[in-house]
Amino acid sequence: MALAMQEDLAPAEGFWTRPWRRFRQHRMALAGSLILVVFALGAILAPQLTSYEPNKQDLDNRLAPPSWEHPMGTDELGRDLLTRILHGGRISMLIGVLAMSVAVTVGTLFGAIAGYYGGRIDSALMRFTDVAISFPSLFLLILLAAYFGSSVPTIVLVIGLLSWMRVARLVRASFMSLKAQQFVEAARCCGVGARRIIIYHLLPNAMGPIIVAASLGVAGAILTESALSYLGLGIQPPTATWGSMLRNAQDQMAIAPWTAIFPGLMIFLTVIAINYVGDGLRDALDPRQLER
Amino acid sequence: MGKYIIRRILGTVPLLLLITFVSFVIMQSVPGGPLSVYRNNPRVTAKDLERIEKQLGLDKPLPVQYAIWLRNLLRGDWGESFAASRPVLPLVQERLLNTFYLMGASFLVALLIAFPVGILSATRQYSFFDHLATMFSFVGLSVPIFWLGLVALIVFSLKLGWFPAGGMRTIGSTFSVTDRLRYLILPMSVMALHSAGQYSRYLRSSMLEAIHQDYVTTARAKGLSDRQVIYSHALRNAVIPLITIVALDLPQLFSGALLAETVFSWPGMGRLFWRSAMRFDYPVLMALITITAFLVIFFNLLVDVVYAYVDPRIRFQNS
Repeated sequence: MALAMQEDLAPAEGFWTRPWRRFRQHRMALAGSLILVVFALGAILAPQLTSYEPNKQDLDNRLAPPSWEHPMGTDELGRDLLTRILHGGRISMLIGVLAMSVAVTVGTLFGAIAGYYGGRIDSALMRFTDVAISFPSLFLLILLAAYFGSSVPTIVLVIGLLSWMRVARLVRASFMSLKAQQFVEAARCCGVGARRIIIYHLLPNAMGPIIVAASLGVAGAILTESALSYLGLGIQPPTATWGSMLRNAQDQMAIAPWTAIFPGLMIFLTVIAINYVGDGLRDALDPRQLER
Repeated sequence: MGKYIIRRILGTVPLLLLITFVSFVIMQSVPGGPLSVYRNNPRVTAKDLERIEKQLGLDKPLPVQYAIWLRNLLRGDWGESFAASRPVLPLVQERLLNTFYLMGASFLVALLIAFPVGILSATRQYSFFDHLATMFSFVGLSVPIFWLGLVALIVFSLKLGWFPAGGMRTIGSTFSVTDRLRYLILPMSVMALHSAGQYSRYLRSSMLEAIHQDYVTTARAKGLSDRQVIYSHALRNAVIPLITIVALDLPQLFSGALLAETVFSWPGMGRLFWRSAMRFDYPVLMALITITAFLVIFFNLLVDVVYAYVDPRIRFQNS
């Protein structure tokens, strides 16, 4: 029985047709997607795209301005900035995606349990969420990164575990309205267990807002990682991330402004592209937002 | 009303205790213990370490240490900084005021930008201005504060020479408003741009909601002018949801201030926090965390009370 219902819920033909049509109408979201594809390709193909090594120093060529050999110039150790930006993009974007996955997993779990069970469990979990959200997360991040080191897994966990709160609230809200609907009652009548209802009946219906929150979460995580690295608490040198490349830039900005401008520009463009894509996804997946 | 306020104040106590306790545990769980900084110092012998440990009560179990810390705090004793060997409170106080000065100024500027932008883009939905305002808010939301600060420094300080490259006032000069302003404008604008984008966006959507309400239509039908309808009917109601957003934004504002302070060498609490974290100076860290958490919770409470005052439904809903 449960199996039959599960099949009924599986996306029927054309599930994505309408959202895709709406998404295509959002021009900025399309432009954002294009930018993201280009940046992602640049990061993946980094070793093929440039002839320089990201950490290879060239002390005769320190702080060289942008030129044909070095389109974005070189840094204080003569390393090619474009190469470091391409390689740094790998880590920055990877951390963004992984930290978001952690945040969405934790947030969905908390929100689903709170929203489905309600009552005392709900108020306990939501009180906990209130505590977590009412604290300036950068402060805790600094503490945790300073104390527990800053390898990629630590940074991913720390950022993820400090940014699940919005997802939890979102999922809780949509679970609370969904669980009152008839299809859930019907499932319960058939003797479907709570875990099954949550995973197969409620979660697919709450997917829209989760996807939107996830996309915006990547942007937030990239910003957070770059801030941490700028403060010297992120991924340690010589490995490049967009944030850590800005760390020394302030001392040299008078003589080599390009070292300050290009890495930050990459963060900015990536984050704004993701935010526009998230906005487009919201229009596409959450039609209620459009009724205005 | 009084009962509601008292209930809410009592509700914040466990919240504060929880936040401080969690921070306390995090700080004590530094690999190598809170005294690990001293361990690398060749002038500090093992015997010294033991003495310091006893003196600070670090040999006792964690909950006991927390209780001691809390008891001292309630007596007004915030402890002594490890790094500066000075009482924490005066050290923190000055920094806090500097941060509030920066945060307050940029908050005001953010509102001064957000109100006209939000109102105009709501009343002229889908106009060229509205699209421009949307773009502005996306830029504000997406730009890393510290990078915007760096670019502002390069352009306005290094290239144009209009503003000093960091600090809060000219060292050694007597107090003057113009001098303070010259140092304030860059960090303030950078922080304000970030917040103004979000505030104007929220104001726009709550204005749009308000404009389509029945009472606004009624007001129009009675023949009130556009100006009156928008400013005295729609805007008043649109501002209420904005209050919540602004209060919820306070933790973000603290984080933003920390970054702005780092870029512009502003002697505020964010930089003090960062420096203290690098030196594991945990009495200072605990003080800063407690004060920040208290402020955030206090402002949320204030907003809730103001809300309950404005809208009686909230008062009775939870009783």
